[in-house]
Amino acid sequence: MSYLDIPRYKEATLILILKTLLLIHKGTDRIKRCSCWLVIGCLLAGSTHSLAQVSLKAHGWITLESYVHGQADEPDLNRSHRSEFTGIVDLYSWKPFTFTLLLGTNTDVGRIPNSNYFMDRITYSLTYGVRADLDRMVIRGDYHHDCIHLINRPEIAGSTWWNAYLVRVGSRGAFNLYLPKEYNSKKDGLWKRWDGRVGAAYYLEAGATLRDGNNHIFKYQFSNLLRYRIFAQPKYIAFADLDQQFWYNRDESTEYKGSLTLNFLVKGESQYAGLFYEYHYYDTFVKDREDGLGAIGFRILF
Amino acid sequence: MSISMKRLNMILLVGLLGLAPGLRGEGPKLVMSTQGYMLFAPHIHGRAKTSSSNAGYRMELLGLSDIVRWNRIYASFLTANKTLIARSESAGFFKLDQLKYTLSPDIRIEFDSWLMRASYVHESLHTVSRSSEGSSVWMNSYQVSVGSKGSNYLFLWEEFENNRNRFLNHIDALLLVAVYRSGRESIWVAKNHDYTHKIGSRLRFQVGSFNRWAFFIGSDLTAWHRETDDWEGTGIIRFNAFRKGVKNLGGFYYRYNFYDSYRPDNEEYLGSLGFQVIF
Repeated sequence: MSYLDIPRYKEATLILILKTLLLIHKGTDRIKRCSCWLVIGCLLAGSTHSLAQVSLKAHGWITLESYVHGQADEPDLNRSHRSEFTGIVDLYSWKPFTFTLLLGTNTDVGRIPNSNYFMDRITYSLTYGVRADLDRMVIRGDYHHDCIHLINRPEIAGSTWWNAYLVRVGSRGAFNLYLPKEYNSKKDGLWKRWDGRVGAAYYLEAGATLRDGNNHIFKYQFSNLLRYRIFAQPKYIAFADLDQQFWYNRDESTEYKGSLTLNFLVKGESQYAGLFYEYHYYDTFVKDREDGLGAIGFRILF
Repeated sequence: MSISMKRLNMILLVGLLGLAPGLRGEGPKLVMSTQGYMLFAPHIHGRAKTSSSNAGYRMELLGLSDIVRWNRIYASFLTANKTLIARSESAGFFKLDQLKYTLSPDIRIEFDSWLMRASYVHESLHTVSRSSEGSSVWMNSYQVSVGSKGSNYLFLWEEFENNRNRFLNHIDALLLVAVYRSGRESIWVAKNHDYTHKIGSRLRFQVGSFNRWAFFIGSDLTAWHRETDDWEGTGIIRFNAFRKGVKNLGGFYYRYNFYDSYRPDNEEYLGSLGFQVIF
């Protein structure tokens, strides 16, 4: 038996990972950089000796959508299209817990009337967290970073970014990862299922450092998703989503974003893709206001 | 020709999707499978020679969605996003500097040990958080590539999963040729560039697979021909150590640009250490 096989090795690895995560939050930039590599290295190397399983399974979605009606309020943003690419990597699994890394981009494309399209704005998302997959439920805890940048335009007040601690709880069918599998698990056809999830987030106060945020006053966010299965067949699923998000700000003001989405997905040999229609019936979220806009899009779930 | 390329591409894509649900039996089959990679790589040494470079970090997301398969032929759509991040002392940890988007309808033919790809590639390069000097760059090209399966990221996991705990000691190769569209200043034809052709090659030496880890070394050489009859080129060498997951690969690489005169993204003499997940 090598020294790597003894249980103390597992304890030591866990302690090392926890201490390193602590350093990431408290240390200087150089320590943070080194720590990130150390954590990833430990996670990948440690699994060789069955501390837990390296999964490296990636899932996510790619979306291309086109606004078909409504008019954006923002005078400098002639919304035309939006594309989204989100990938979630399951790094490491231990019992029902999976450590995940999310990387996503969301691009707003504008259009000058009677002229060409132009890339207007990009939002990056970077999240690391833990997901607990229970029998019928999923619980997620994430440290979430979003940043918004203008493309080809100067940012007078600088870029916008925020960091938040986020918790979400819901039924499996309310998470994209499980949606197709859940919806095809039974051969009943119509009108028989509701799914939902709720979430809460706490935003770090913006202090113009990378670790907290810049150009925002968010304090809390509460969200919920209600999903109704319209029908499910082995090759097709259709469902409707009611998505609501509510922000409570540090100056005691509030913001709200609500949308209704109809989805129709087709199953291929292994994964799903299809069309959706999304309507933002009410939206006061200042960082991405889509009030009254309706969009038709194509989405691939992988 | 009265119909524009943009419209033709859209008609082809919508046609494929429209037909897709009816594809059953022995004919074409609906696949809807997405493969690709995500990477993040800081530059760890070297200094770029040209002022057009953005030494700091690179981040890339790429997804190739196979829509329809008919025997060995796949009709796919590629979407990719690459961010060029500059290291900045004044702006904190880093500063996003440029963005590159790629959209590409793609046809792939898979043979037993090699594959061929033909694609229409739409690329654009934009500055982030600042005014663009000379505006964005838009490129459209027809590309054809031929190579062994092991030279493509799509088959890497399979290659190493089938060969466990031994030295592989073989070389994979790929050759790529692209013809850029030129003409009127349009984002669907060409804008702010004067490239006419691209020729690229990849050599990959598969070292081996040991205890769930895969090791390989790659070299990429690419040359661009311009309307002025000048050439630009890049030469890259990459050392890779990837951990095999259940169906994917994730790991580290070290990449060094030993030659680079390509203006839109110049990394000459820069070495980077990256983390990549291939799914």
